[in-house]
Amino acid sequence: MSIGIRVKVSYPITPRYGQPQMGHAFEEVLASAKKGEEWAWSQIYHSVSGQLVGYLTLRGSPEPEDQASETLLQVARNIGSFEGDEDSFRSWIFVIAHRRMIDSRRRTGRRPTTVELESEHHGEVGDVEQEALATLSTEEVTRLLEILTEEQREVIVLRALGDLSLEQTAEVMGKRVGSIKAMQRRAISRLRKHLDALGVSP
Amino acid sequence: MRDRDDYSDEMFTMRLSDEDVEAVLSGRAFDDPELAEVARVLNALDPQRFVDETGERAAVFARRAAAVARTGEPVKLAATARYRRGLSLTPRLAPAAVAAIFLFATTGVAVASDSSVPGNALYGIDRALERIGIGDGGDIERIEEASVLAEQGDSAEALKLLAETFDNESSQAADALLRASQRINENAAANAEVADMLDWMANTDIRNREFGQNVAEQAQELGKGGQGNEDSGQSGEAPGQNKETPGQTNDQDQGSQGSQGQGQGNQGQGGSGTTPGRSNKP
Repeated sequence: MSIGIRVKVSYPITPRYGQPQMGHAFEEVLASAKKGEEWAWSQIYHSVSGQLVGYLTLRGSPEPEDQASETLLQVARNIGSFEGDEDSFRSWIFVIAHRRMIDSRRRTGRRPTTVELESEHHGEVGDVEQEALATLSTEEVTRLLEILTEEQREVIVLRALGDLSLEQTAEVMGKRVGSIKAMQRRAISRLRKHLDALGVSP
Repeated sequence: MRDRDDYSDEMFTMRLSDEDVEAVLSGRAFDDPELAEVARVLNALDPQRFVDETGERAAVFARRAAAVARTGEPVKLAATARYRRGLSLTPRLAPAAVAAIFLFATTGVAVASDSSVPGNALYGIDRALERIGIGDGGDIERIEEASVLAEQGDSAEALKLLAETFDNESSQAADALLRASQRINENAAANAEVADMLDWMANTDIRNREFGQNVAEQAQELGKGGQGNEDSGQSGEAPGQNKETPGQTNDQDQGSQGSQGQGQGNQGQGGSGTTPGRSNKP
């Protein structure tokens, strides 16, 4: 563990954001979506479904694809009253998804359903170590993120996977920007420490 | 064990720069080499992995969403079942039913009688909930459930539920609500005050932080019978009695359908003789 050494190193980072965002087309897409044009809804789905399904998966949804569709149908139902840019549109979508998760969790019990992963929570250091050299699988990431509190995990997922800004994340979780900032700091820090303990540090 | 973890986390957290946190979260280059592994983990959070390659879902969704947007029709339960593989109809129905009860109780509009036709009857409610929910960024479902509890006369339970909700949003409000729930255990007459507060919560346009503060303030007054009115709170009979059934307080408003503004008056705070129910008392 190298403490306090600060060398400007650029790590090769693969861009995480695989999905195209609508950008300039958004206004037109929104207007057409309001009119009920299929192509526009298809655009919306493609622009956000990966992030939405990913968010729901990492939050422990048993049926993330279904929940993503339902979330977006709720968007469709209320699209008439939406005004705003693509950023606020995306925030809105995640607000709905966030609420759905809270809601379904209240019915199924307090914890998200990461049951099948929890059983193999320990004793897999070797695997993780091996895999760390390559890209981690979603299951492995899910397992690693389990050391975070639920809120920390949500912040990380919204930011890194959902590609939301600090402000958007605060809006989605109904918190202040300051507390999101504090949470993500803690989360990164705890994650780093955990990875360090697993012996996968460079 | 947790504590020790937290402590050492804290040490690293102190060294961690905001720039690096932002960088590692958004996939940009960072300074601290210790973040390399974290970055590798976060880079695996790739939305592309969750994309349906066949495009079938997108097509089905686009068709339905377009129809929904065009007609303003609610999502039909039968159609939803296809997505849900039939298993989980109840989760969708339950909040809607709770909402129906809630709206019925608070607005006096007889929606509940229509609830056998989930499609149209619940559409308006869903819209209303959406509006409220988006408005305050809070956990609207819990407020609804708390309302139902309050209507059933179980205010203390309702407040506990609310306290749980606010635990995330505002610890000040959560504390105040918990304390109120304890007070109210010994004061059944406070039900109406709780109902008023819930009504306010459901109708207000006030947002997050102010919302929490406002709830905290209102909660502090619950069960006390309002400022300078301690005696009525202690005697435990006067303040709420004629408001125990919501219908009674609402009768003034029913004619005008003024369901929106109903709760705005913060009646719980004005406790002494300002509530419509009380002034009407024969």
